[in-house]
Amino acid sequence: MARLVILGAGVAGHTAALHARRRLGKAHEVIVVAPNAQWNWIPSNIWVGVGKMPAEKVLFPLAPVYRRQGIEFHQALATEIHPEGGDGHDHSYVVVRSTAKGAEGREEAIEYDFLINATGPKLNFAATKGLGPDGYTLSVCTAPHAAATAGELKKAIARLKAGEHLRFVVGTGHGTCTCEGAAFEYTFNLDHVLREAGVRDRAEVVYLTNEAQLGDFGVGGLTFTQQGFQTTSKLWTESLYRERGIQAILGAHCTQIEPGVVHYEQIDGSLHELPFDFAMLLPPFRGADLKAYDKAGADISDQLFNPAGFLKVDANYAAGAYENWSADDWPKTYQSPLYDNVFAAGIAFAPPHQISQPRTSPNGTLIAPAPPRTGMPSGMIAKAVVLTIVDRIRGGGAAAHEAPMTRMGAACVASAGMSFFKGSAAAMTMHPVVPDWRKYPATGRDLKGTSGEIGLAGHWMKHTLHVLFLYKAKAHPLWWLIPE
Amino acid sequence: MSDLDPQAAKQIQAAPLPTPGTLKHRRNVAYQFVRFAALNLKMIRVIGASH
Ligand SMILES: Cc1cc2nc3c(=O)[nH]c(=O)nc-3n(C[C@H](O)[C@H](O)[C@H](O)COP(=O)(O)OP(=O)(O)OC[C@H]3O[C@@H](n4cnc5c(N)ncnc54)[C@H](O)[C@@H]3O)c2cc1C
Repeated sequence: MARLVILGAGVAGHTAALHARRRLGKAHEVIVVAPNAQWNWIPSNIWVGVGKMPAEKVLFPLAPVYRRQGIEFHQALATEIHPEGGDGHDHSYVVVRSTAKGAEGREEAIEYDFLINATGPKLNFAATKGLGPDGYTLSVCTAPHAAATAGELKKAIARLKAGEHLRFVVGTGHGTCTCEGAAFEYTFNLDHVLREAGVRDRAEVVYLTNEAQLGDFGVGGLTFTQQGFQTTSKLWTESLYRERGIQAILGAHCTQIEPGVVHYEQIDGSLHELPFDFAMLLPPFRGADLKAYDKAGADISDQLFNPAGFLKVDANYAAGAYENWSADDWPKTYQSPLYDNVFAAGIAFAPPHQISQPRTSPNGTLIAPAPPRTGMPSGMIAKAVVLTIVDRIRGGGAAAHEAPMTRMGAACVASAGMSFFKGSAAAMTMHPVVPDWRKYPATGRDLKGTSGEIGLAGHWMKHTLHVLFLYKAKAHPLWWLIPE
Repeated sequence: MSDLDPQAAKQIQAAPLPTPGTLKHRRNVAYQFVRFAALNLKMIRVIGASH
């Protein structure tokens, strides 16, 4: 009998748990540890955040799904990994602290044969003073954050209706944020609801981003063909900003938020203040607060994790300057180089470096979009890791399964307004996610797999993905037919 | 456009502005239904190439 322990029940952890349970016989155990009782389809938080969808529609309780599937669920926060055992354990184990009602704070050790760290991002609002719901800005990163943001938006719309003029600032709250696609989506959904409410003329909408160019999205932008021409996501995105009358501030690192004012620095080193009435700014991400110890109890966290707390895997972390970066730097198997039964999936793995070119201001401030690890790559990595573990449990000496982001594509559908007949979305595909300039010297990506299109069809696609992924996550019949 | 970031404002102003015809196409249900099918095929292609 083998025991697989999965830390995290987001896109990566939940995908891993369902696939592992389906492929492993009942003799083997699949255990999930996650602090939240509910699963959240995060991409639709955007619609919750503009008041177009109630939070209940993006959440469902995990326990009944896991009970039905035969997956053991611990509602808890993992705090320590002991890959060599120790302290009375012959086996590797993790320490978890319960977050379940009535058992809060209770600690427990869970032994494992295989471990997947799928703890995703820690929302690091603390990186910028005053950022986030505990400070002076709003967020859509969790369903409760998004619901609170919708409440504030409703109040702002009432003020606009009363004749006030307001400034809305949407974007990234730090120079090293990722997920610019989500900020982009919120900007255009906001524009859409303000137009619907008939108050757009009294609202100034500003997109404040760490991207050096619009359309960078943390992947260095895209080149694709459209009507017989090669075009770029930069031009394409700029066109959308022009059409909707949205202003942009590029290459910005927020230094501090005060009530109603964002302080930021730009790549040229200039310092600015931007007063606002409503601000939704995403935080930068860190890894979860996990510690690792060897058999003797010595802290080995800095060996297992990178300084930002993401788990180091089979990547090349010594590539150095941007000029030296190569597709080969990116991990393939997501196995820890130190412990061959420890893996990472989704945002929890440490990327070797950014995808987009990093920049430093003359004041030495790093303004560099972190590499996005969106839903599709997170799910695909999780599945590849599970297939490797299943092979090993079955005793096969097969090579590890691979899911490098340099061979993997991604579909990103960025909503630009939710309505069945008047909605819109920018639907993008890219292949691969991380450009491979050796294989595709002209644009870094396969032009046949890279595309961009704006229209109502994109909105239908986004809605279809919402329905399909919730169906899959609930493990309804034939869920496995829906690809990651 | 404002002077919040003059360089960005200049770039946005220089970007192509969709014509009313293009905007209509983007909302035309029949045309978009065809695009929806095409989008599905594109996604299947990317998914197929990734697995
Ligand atoms: C607002 C927003 C919109 C987005 N829109 C899109 C989109 O349209 N398309 C797209 O592809 N991607 C989108 N993304 C990105 C997508 O949400 C992520 O790629 C995806 O969630 C990553 O999956 P994950 O499993 O790595 O992390 P998560 O889904 O965040 O899951 C992490 C899990 O780990 C748990 N956890 C955290 N700490 C611990 C711990 N110490 N112990 C145990 N468990 C722990 C968490 O509770 C959670 O269950 C969006 C992200 C945001 C924030």
